[in-house]
Amino acid sequence: MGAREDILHRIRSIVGDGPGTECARSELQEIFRGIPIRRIEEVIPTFCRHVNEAGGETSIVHSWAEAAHRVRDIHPSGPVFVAAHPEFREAGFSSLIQSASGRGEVLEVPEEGMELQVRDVFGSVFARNAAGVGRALYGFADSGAVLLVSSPFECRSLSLLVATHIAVLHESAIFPTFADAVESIEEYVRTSSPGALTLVAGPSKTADIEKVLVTGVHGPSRFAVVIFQNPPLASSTVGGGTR
Amino acid sequence: MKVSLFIPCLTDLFFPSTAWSVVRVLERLGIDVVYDPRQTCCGQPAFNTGYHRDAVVCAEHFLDVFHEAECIVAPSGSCVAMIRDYSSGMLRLPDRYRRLAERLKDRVWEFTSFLVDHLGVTEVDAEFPGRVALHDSCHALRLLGIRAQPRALLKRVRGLELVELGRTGVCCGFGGTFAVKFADISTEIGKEKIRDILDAQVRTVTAVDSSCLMQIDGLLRKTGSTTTTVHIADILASTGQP
Amino acid sequence: MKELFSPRWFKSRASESLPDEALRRNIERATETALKKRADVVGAFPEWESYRTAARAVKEHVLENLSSYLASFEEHARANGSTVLYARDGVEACALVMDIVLSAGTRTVVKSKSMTSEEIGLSAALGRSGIQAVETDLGEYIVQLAGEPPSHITAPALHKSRRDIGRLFEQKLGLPYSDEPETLTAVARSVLRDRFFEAGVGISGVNFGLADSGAICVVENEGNARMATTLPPVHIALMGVEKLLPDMRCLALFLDMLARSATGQRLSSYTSIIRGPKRADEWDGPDVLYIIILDNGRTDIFADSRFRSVLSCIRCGACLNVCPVYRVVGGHAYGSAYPGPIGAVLAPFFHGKEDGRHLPYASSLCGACAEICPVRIDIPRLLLLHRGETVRERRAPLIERFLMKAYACVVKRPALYALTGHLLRAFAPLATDEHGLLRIPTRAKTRTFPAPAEKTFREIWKEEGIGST
Ligand code: SF4
Repeated sequence: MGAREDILHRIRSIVGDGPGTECARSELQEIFRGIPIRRIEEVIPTFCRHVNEAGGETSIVHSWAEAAHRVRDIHPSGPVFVAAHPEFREAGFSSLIQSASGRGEVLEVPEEGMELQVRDVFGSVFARNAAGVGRALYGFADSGAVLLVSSPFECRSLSLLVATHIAVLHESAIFPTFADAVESIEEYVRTSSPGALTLVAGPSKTADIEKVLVTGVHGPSRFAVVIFQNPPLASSTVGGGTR
Repeated sequence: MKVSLFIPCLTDLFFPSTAWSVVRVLERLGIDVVYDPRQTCCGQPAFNTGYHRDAVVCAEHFLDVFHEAECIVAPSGSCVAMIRDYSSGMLRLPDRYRRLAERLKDRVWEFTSFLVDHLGVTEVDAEFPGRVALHDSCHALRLLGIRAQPRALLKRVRGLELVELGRTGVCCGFGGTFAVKFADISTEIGKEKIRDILDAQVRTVTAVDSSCLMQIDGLLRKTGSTTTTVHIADILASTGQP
Repeated sequence: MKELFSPRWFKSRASESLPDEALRRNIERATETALKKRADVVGAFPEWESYRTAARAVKEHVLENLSSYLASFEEHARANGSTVLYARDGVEACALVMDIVLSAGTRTVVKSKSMTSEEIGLSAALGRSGIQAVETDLGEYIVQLAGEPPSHITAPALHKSRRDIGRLFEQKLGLPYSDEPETLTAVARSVLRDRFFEAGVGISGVNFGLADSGAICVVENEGNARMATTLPPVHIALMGVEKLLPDMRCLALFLDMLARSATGQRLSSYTSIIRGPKRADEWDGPDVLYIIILDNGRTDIFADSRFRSVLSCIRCGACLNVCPVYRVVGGHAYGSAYPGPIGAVLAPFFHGKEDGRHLPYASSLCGACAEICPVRIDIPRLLLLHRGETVRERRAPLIERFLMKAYACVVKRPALYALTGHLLRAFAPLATDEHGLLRIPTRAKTRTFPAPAEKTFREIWKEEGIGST
């Protein structure tokens, strides 16, 4: 018997085939009925606070131009990689960043028909001091995390092989908890089938040496969320989210 | 009300005065105390070392002696936890004994829990001046949920200043046969406890279990500290007169 | 070395590490910090207790339905382009990995932290075939440089001080000495960044597998797991057969508990939900994803319903942090990939009943592990079950068996039992420390033993004549 058959056989001999999917589903329902729904008051300020506590920073903007300026505030010098996201393109986001004050090239990644490999783009010395600006699909107040999804317009390295990762997030896409967003995420997965989804909470960090917190172990040492508030509100920052 | 005393082996052999303290406190509260000398051991030493069949022998004997008792009180959380566990199925008791154990379960009490939870008493008219630290005995704490009870009682003792240890709910390292099988490890764990006790600068350390106090005392003596160990029943029985 | 690293030698290894004051302080600092942070975040999570109950119920539900969840996982993983393989034991798993690595034509493999790979000795197996498996988690990298196994499930190098690590980097990497965590971390970052680009294969563990989508979830803080699962063209994920969860809603539940229990974070920095190899139109990500589903004794545990609950373990490491024994002996003493309380439960399964029999005794049964475990595994109970097995199978020491027989004889005979008081008093002068002839072995060296009272309580009671029932 092969390993697969052997293992499956062993399992089946212990529990049989199980009572079937319908039954399993209702049993799960029952389990979840037993836990209280977590309520998060003041979703946006809580989100900002938790991003901060995870070592990240937040700011709230009302226009793409403002967002572009924020990017340059966060990353005044050094190259900026911008995701080729349709929404960014439509807004001309990369040119806006380009024209905002600051030094360093602005490049869209991946460019259409780009032949370059990850290593060519992100392995260079040039990229060591880069910022990566991408979209976040959702945010979660409870954990201060954002959800990234891989797509033809949004590569994984953009949020990983850079010194600073900046995620642009719509305020309306911030859920109280990850659990609250599960249905929306599943819907997104059904239609777009991304290769990977990644929850990001703060920068790359370690406490492996004497529990001293160090950021930027392998991934970005800085993580910022630019929250796009639409329609614009009067005040430009909420919840003391900026650093 | 009539209370049947269960005096664990360790208390019987090494700390009989603690057993007397239990009697005194209960009698002070107008309770009729009886002691059946046929009693022996709850079986925990055998059970915790893996000798489950020998533990069954103990359990059966215990049930033979106590099954008619209205209320059983013991100055030990560890033994009470063991007795309450007789019917859990870990011990393969014969059906007859299992039924007895099931019925006995709710009638057996750790001493401080009996006072506070069963009688609703926190004031026992005791006096014991000085700074006292309470060590939470693991089995009392985690298997019986005894945490607030001894504190409530100690707070009412005249002259007593209750001091919390830096880390509460940490094991003293005794663990029954563990202390013999892994004497070095047991000692080192105990030393960590002693650090906390010395930091607390108390006159006395107390607990609801004599076994923990024996471990703590054995280590304290080696440090030359003047801090003493006293079972909580002895504190509650004390009236301030030497 | 391999033979020495066995739980069989727990006692002698422990007595080596006990006097190591520096080790003790390193462990204390690390565990206290983790526990404090955990207490803060759990304290701010009022639903915690009901979450624990639910998490355990989900795990049990999964095991009850493992056949169908496994079938569903496999079906969806395949549909998403992953290759699903099975391994009965460590040897098979290592062989599968080896085949994949060889056919990928690479000599360098990057690994992110995986307890499962430690369990099967994967790095050593690859090394024997001349393949360099580079650990990329900082803690793992440190212990790999030092030639040691990890000493903690979630913090592999917790036994080392910054000075130890500074000296290690100086020696092994030929760098000027520094004990600044920032500097040391930066060194690891730059050394390892190149490895990620060189490696032909990335190996990761799996925290959770999602049965309804065939996705795997990998949780980490440093970003090395993201790199290992993104940059090399081939990704191999090693997953214990018990790691499945039904769906993303269950995942949400477990994510709420894992980081809080492990490090006191609300969520770890990175939680990757990998649905398969990179999509045809995506720019980066591995071209192929192999998921190796590993048994290695898990179905044996599964078959024994008394121990089944250990398969709920999410390897958060909280039980290690809180264990008084772990805290004084350190992880290496256990001689197993899994140290601490959970390691003591697993040892007889993973190392055999003979070699694994000591660890279940190396516990004061204080219960702190059961109290902290996010999935409510009653570890002390399981240790007692192991002890019972050891006795039943006559693996316990002869003298102990004899003493217990005598004890059982005495406890059911009150008259005999009453005699023990007399006996003890008669022999006590011989046994008490200092001048005693017998000396109670080792105990008396470090602790004094109380002298028996002049009269036992039962004797006094009788004399007082208050009568009996
Ligand atoms: S046994 Fe519980 S506490 Fe210990 S590692 Fe597993 S899940 Fe965590």
